Amino acid sequence: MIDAVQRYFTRLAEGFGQGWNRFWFTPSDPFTVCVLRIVAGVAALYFVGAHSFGLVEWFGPNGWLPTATVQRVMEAAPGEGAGYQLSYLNLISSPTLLWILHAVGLVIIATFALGLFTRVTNVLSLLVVLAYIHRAPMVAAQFEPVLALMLFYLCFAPSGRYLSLDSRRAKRDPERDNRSWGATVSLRLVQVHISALYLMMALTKLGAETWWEGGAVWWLMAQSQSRLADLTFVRNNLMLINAWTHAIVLFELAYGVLIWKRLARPLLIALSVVHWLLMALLTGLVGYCVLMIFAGAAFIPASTLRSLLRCGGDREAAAETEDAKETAAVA
Amino acid sequence: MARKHEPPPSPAAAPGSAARTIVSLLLFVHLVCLFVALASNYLMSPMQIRLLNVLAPYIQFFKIQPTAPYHLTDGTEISHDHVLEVEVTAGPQKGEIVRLPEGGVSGWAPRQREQTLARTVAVTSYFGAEQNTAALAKALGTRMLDLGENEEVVVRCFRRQPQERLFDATSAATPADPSDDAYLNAVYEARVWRDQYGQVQLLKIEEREVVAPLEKQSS
Repeated sequence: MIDAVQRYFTRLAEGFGQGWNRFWFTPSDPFTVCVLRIVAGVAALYFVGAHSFGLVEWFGPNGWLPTATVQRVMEAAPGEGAGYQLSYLNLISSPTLLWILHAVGLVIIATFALGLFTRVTNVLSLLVVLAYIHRAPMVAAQFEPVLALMLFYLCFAPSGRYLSLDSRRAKRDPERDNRSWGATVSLRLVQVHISALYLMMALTKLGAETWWEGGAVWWLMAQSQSRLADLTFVRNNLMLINAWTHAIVLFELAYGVLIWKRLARPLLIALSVVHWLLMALLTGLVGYCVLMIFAGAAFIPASTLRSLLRCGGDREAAAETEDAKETAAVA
Repeated sequence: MARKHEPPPSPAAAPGSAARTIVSLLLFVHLVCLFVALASNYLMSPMQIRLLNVLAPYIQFFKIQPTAPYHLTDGTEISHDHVLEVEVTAGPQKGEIVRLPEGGVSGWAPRQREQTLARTVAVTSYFGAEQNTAALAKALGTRMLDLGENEEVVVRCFRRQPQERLFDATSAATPADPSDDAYLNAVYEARVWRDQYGQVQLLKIEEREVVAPLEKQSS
């Protein structure tokens, strides 16, 4: 009996170890992370660029949110502390300097999106975006954590290897194996985080009564100030509102779990486009919804992305078709 | 793990045993932080609060903990739209009113920032964090005092009550236009002024019943 238990735990440990190594460390084609670099770069440009409208009004010396006020408010929140909200913007009191640093930040992010000196500009872009988030954390919404996570995880990947100015500059050896385990770690982190986000979205909705009662979609479409489109013409169709509410929860639960299943993945990715477009209309959170659509690219194999974008593949591209199978096996 | 139809990875592509061990350890720690941070988005247990405080340097710096409500709405007043209003009540710009958000296209990031700020002010008030509400209101008021060298402003935060699904369009209390000011309910109101020493002062304006409760009429 004891032997059987020992054998079971030995097998369990070996199986877990092998699965872990296969999941995180199998070298893979970095094409997908290169696509994610462009997605994150454009999203970061939008985020920081949008601060150009009212930069001094918000962060200037007589702005809506002085640094002292922000630090005071953040110290009170659980798990938060002004000491960890590090931002170089906190040190600036001159509007001119603010504009100069803003312009420099935009140039860094644009350089990253174009894939020039990608390793360095990736880290710098992350710091720029975090500086804006930490300067006024109380105005951060759903978009910012998703953007920050993508920029953070891409730091571990050779995301400038394709679709970049770096790749044009570099002399390429056709015999070189371009697969990288850093790309796998980075991609897996994005995938795990995105699926965990979906699960969190669904589970927090299940914590609120209105999502069980089927009325949540009405409360979203009735917010006349934030919604993108007025969909209240469906007010008399209670069944539609209920069905839509339940479908949102069901989809988010399904995505969080079934995205790891190879067969369900294309369907879920296609449905996510519809889901997030409708959510954008309902909530007005356009940047967040669009980013969630494109973040789903993390689950598309590099070979498929290559054919979608009509980019020629290297020899490692042919091997990518097995990726989804491995993911499914581990999951 | 070599695939059937591909060459084995080159030494540069595959991690060494030591690198794999170190990275695995870091990944494990990160995944624990991720779990704690995401699981604390809606409600938190005392243990989660303690863990968040311990892990704060990492999860806060990299913004791993999403503080925005990912359930989007719970149907209560907290998740409704809110508006901030700063009215100059004394000074050269007397009568001028600035509203946040005002103008702009719904969904546009700068406008969303204003909406989020208005909601933050309201949420601090709903949860009784009056010091934070006052700090934010004071900052908003100070800007208006300084801009026009004004003497006094009133900062207000309103909740925009959404229409009920089946509302009475004929009633004056519930106009057909959901952006009508009749749907604005006051959440917080405070006077902000600069005293004789140049210090900015704030006084919350309470409802009359709160300041002086009505006494029962003796029969």
